Amino acid sequence: MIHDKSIERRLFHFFNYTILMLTSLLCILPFINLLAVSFSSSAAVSAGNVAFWPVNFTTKAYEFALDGGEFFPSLWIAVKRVVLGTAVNLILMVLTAYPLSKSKQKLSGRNVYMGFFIFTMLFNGGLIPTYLVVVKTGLIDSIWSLILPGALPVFSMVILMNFIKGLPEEIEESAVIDGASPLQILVRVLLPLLKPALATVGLFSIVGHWNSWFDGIIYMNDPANYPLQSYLQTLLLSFEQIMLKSGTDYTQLLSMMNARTGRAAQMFLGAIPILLVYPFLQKYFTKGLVLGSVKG
Amino acid sequence: MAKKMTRFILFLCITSALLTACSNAVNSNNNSAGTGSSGNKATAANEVDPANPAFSAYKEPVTIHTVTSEYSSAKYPKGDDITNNVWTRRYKEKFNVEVVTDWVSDEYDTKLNLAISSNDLPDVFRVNASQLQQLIEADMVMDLSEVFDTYASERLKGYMEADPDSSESGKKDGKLYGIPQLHWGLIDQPDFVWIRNDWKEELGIEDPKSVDDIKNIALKFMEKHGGYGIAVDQTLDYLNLLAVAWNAHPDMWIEDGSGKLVYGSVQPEMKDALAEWAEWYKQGIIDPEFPIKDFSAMNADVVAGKVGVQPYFQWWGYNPGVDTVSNLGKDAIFYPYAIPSVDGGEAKQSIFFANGNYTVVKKGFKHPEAVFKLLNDYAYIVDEGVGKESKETLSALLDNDIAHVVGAFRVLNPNSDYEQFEAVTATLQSKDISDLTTAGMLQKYNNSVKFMTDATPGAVGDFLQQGAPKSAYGLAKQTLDNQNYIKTALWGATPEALASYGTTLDDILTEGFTKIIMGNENIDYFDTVIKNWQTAGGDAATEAVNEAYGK
Amino acid sequence: MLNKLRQQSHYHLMLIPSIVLVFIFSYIPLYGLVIAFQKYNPGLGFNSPWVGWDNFAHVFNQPNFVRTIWNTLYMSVFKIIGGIFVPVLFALLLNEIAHRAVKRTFQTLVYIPNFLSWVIMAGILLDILSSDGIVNTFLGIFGIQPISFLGSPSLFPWTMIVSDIWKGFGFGTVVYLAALTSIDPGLYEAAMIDGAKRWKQTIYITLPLLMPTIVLMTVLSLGNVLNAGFDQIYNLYSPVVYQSGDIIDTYVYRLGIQQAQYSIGAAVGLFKSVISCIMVALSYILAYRVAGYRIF
Repeated sequence: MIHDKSIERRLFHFFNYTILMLTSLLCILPFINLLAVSFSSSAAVSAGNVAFWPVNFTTKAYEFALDGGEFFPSLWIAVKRVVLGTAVNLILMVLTAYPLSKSKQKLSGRNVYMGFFIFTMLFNGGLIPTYLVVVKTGLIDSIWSLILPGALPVFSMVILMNFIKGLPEEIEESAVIDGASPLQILVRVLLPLLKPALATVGLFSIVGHWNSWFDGIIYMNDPANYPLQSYLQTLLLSFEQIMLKSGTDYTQLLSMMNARTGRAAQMFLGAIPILLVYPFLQKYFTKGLVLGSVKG
Repeated sequence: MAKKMTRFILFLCITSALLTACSNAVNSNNNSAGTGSSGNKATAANEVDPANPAFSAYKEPVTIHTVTSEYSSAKYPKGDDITNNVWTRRYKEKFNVEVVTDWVSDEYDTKLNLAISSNDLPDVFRVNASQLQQLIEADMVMDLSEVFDTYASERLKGYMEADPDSSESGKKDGKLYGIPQLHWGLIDQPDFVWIRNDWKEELGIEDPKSVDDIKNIALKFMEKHGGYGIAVDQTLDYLNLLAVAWNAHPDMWIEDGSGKLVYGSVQPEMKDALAEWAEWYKQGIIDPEFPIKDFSAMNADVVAGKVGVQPYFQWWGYNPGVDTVSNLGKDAIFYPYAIPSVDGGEAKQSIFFANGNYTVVKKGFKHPEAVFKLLNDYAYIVDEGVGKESKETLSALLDNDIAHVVGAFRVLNPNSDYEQFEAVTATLQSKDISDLTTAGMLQKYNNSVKFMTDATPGAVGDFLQQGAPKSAYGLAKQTLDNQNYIKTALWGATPEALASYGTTLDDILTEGFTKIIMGNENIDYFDTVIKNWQTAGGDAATEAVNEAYGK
Repeated sequence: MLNKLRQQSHYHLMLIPSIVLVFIFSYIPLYGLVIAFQKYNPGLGFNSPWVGWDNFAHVFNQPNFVRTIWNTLYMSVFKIIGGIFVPVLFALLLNEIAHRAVKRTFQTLVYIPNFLSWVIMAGILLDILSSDGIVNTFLGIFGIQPISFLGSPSLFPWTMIVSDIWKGFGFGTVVYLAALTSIDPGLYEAAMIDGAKRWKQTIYITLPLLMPTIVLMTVLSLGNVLNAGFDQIYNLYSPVVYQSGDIIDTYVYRLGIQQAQYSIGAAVGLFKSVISCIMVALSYILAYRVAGYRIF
C-alpha cells in the first residue's frame, strides 16, 4: 500500500491505534465479564465479586444447560435455519434489488414496486394475524415458518440496491454488448462485484436468524423443533423457577448457580457458534475491489 | 397519481376480501363446535365402576387433548418428557384416559391467546383470570357445575370449601366455568422484617417490639458496620411491606369503614408511613441508592454483608438466604420478626387474592367428567399418597419437580402449607418421621435437620421457612390463628376498568412516593400525587371496583 | 408499451417471488390492524365489538403519555445522530489501517456487543455505573463526587444514548466499511499524484462517496424515530427517572401488563407507523430535493 513515513502520519497512526484499541477493549470487556460470571459460583456473583476472572470456578451452569440433551439437536436446527434462511434471504434480496436498481424508464412501475416493499417496513399487522397466516399456510411446526415470513429483509435489500446503483453502468452495458442474458449478467458479472455488500447483508441475515427466539417458541408446537436460541430461552425460565425451588434435589445446585450465572452461560453458549463462523465471513468485508481494472 | 391510487385501493379490496373469507371460516367452525355439550348420561355406561364415578376407569378409552407450558426444571427419567411421563401413563393405566398434548410452550399465555384467536382450542387447558372472563364472554368454555357435583371427589370438594372465595371466582352467574387450581395457602402471605442474627447478638440487641426499635437496630448496625441500614429496592415493594406498621395497606383494596371500597396506597395512613421513611432516608437508614436498585442489586448488598435489616417475604431463606450463607457462613443468616404496629403490638397483615389459574373445558367436549377424575387422582396422590402408595411410585410421581408437569390437571390443597408446617414442627420435637404424610413434609423436615447439622447453604430456605426456632411460618401461623390480618376486598378477577390501566396508576404513586422519600418533595406533595392518581383513572377504577365488589 | 413490457419482462419476473411472499406474510396480516378499533377478545377474534377511536383516546388521555412522546423523540434523535456519526468515524479510522488482520480483529471486537442482549448488558451497566462501580471510582481519582448516571433524571437519557451507541455502532461500521471498500482506489492514486494530503483525500474523496450510504442509513433509521429502544430502557429505568426516561413502548407495556391488551398495542403501533411513515417520506423528499440523493 501507500508508505507515508512523515512524522505527522506516524503520530496519526499512533493515536489511531490507541483509539481503536481502547474502543475495542470497551466492547470486549462486557463479554469477558460475562464469561467470568458464567464460570463463577452463585454466591460470588450475587455479592458482586466477579469482574473479569471467575471466582470459585464451577461449570455447573454449563452442565445444567447441556444436561437435558436438547442442546445439540437444537443447535443443528439453528444451523439449518441459518443456512436455509440466509440463502433464501440472499436470493430474494438479489432478485429484488437488481431490478429495483434500474430507473423508472428501464422498469415500468419501479416506484410502485419500491413503495410496495418500503410500506412493509413501516406497517405490520401484528402478532395475531401473522400467526393466523402461518397457520393457514400450514407452516406450523415446520422450519419454513421461521424463514418464509421474513423471506425478504427490506432494510438489507435497500442497502444492497444502493450498492448495485453505485456500480458503474459501463460494466453491465459491455456485457449486454457481448450478448449476455440478464440472468447471466446478474450471476457472472454483478454478483462477483457485490461480494462485500452481500457479505454485509448476509451477516445481518445470519445474525438475525441466529438470534431470534420468539418466532421459534410461537410457531413450533413441539419443543423438539426449537432452534438453539428458543431452547436457551426456555432454559432461562427454568433457572428462574429453580431460584424459587427448595427440593432436596436442588440444594447442591442452588449454592453453585443462579439465574445470573445461568443467563451468562446461556448467552455464551448462544454466541460461541456464531463467533466461530464470523472470521470466515470477515475476509469478504475487508477485501477491497479493484473496480478500476474492470473499467479500464 | 390517480391511477396509482386506484391500484392501491383495488389491492386493499382484494386483501380484505381474502381475509373476510378466512375469518368467516373461523366463525363457522366456532358455531359447529359450540353445540352438543354435556354427554353425562352417555358416559355413565362407559364407567367400570358406576358406583364410584370420581375414581372409576373407563371401559372404552377416552382421549383428552390438552396444551401445557414447559416445566423445564423438571428432571425426567431417560425417554420421558412433558408429553409422555409417569403421570400420562398413570392416566392411561388407572382411568383408560389418553392425554394428548397438542403443544408445549414457555410463552404459554401468548400461545394460548393465539390458539384461542385461531379457534384451535384443546379440550382441557389452564387459563388466567382475564382469559377465563374472555372465554366465558365468547361462550367457548363449558359450564361444569353439574359435572363437578357428580364427579369431584370429597377431597377436591373440600379444597373448594377451604377457599370459597377462589372457588367463587371461577363462577359466573352461579355457574362454574373455571376450576380454580388454588394455592399452597394463606400462610405464605404475611411479611416480616428480617434481621441479621450474628450482628444482632454481637450488639446484644433485643427483638424489635416497635417501629422505633427497627430504626434503632438499623442505626446500631450502621454505627458498627458502616454503610446504610435497611435494604429496599426501586419498586418500593419491599419498603411497602413495612407500611402495615402505620395501618396502611398499599396495593390492596380495603373497606374504608363506611362500606365503600378504597385503594390502600392512597389513604392518609400511607402519608404517615412516607413521612417517617423520608426521615429515615435523610438519616441514611434507607439505602441511598434504592431508587436505581432492582431486586438482584438490592439482594447483592445483603449477600455481600453490607446491610443487616431487610423487609421481605417469607422466602428470604431461599433467596438471598442461600447465597448469604454460602458467602458469609451460617451465622450470618437473618431471622424474621413480626412487623410491629405504631399503636403497639403486631401490625395487621395484608392478605391478597391468591388464585391465579383455572382449569377450563372447551365447549362441546364429550367427557368433561374425565377432567375431574384426573384432578381427584392428583389430589389423592399429593395429599393421601404416603402410606397408600409405594415409596417408589410416589417418588416417581412427585420428586424432581415431576409433580408440576401435569399442567391443566393440577389442583392444590389450600391448607397444605399450614398442615405441612404443623407436621414438620411436631416431628422436629418428636423425631418420629412417620407423622410426615406427604413428600413435601419429608423434604422440609430433612432440609431443616440438614441445615442444623451441616449448615448446608441449599437447605437454609426450608429451615428458615419452617424448621428454625424463629421461623417465618411460625409467625405467619400466629397471624392466621389470631386473624390478625385484613383481606383484600378485590377477591377475584380484576374489573376491566381497573385492568385497562395496567400498572400505570401504581407507577404514578411509586414515582411520587420515591420523590417524597428522597426528600425531593416534601410530605405535602402526597396530596398532589393522590390528585394525579385520581384524575389519571384512579377515581374511575375505584368506581369500577365498588360496582363489582362493593355491597 | 407492450413491446417495452416484453423487453423488461425478465425484471418483472425476478420480482415475482418476493412480491408473492411479501404479500402473503406482510400484506394479508395487515387486516389485523382492525383490532386497533375493536375491544379485542381472542375468543371472538376479528368479530370483537367495534369501539371506534376509544383505544387511541384511552392511551392519549393518559396524563403521562405526552411526556413519553417527548422522551422518545429526544432519545431516539440523539441515538440516530450518534448512531451515524460514530460508525462513520470508526469506519474511517479503521480504513486507515493497512494491516488486514489487525483491521479484521478490531472490526470483530466492536461487533461483539451486538451479540449480547440488553438483559445482560443492563446487569453489567448497573455494576459499572453504581456509586462504587468502575466509572465512579475512576472519576473519584480526579476528586469528582459519585455521579448517579442511572438515577438522575437529567443524566439518564444521555446514559441511554451513549450506551446504545456503544452497543450498536459495530453494526453501522460494517455497512460503512463495505461502502468504503467499493471506492475506486484509482481516485486516491490520482489525488496522490496531485499531492493531496491524506486528510484532504478523506474530506474530498472518501466522505462525498460515502454520503449516499450515510443518507440512506439516516433515512432508514428515521423509520425508527418512535422506537427509542424498549429492551434497553425497560431493563435500566426506574420510577425515579420516569419523567425523562419513560418512552412510548415502556409506557404502553405497563399499560397493558395486566392482561394481553392487543387492541391498545395495535392502536399505538398504528400511530407509530403513521408517524414513521411521515418521517421517512419527509426525509426522502428532503434528501432528494436538497442533496439530489434518491435512496429508494
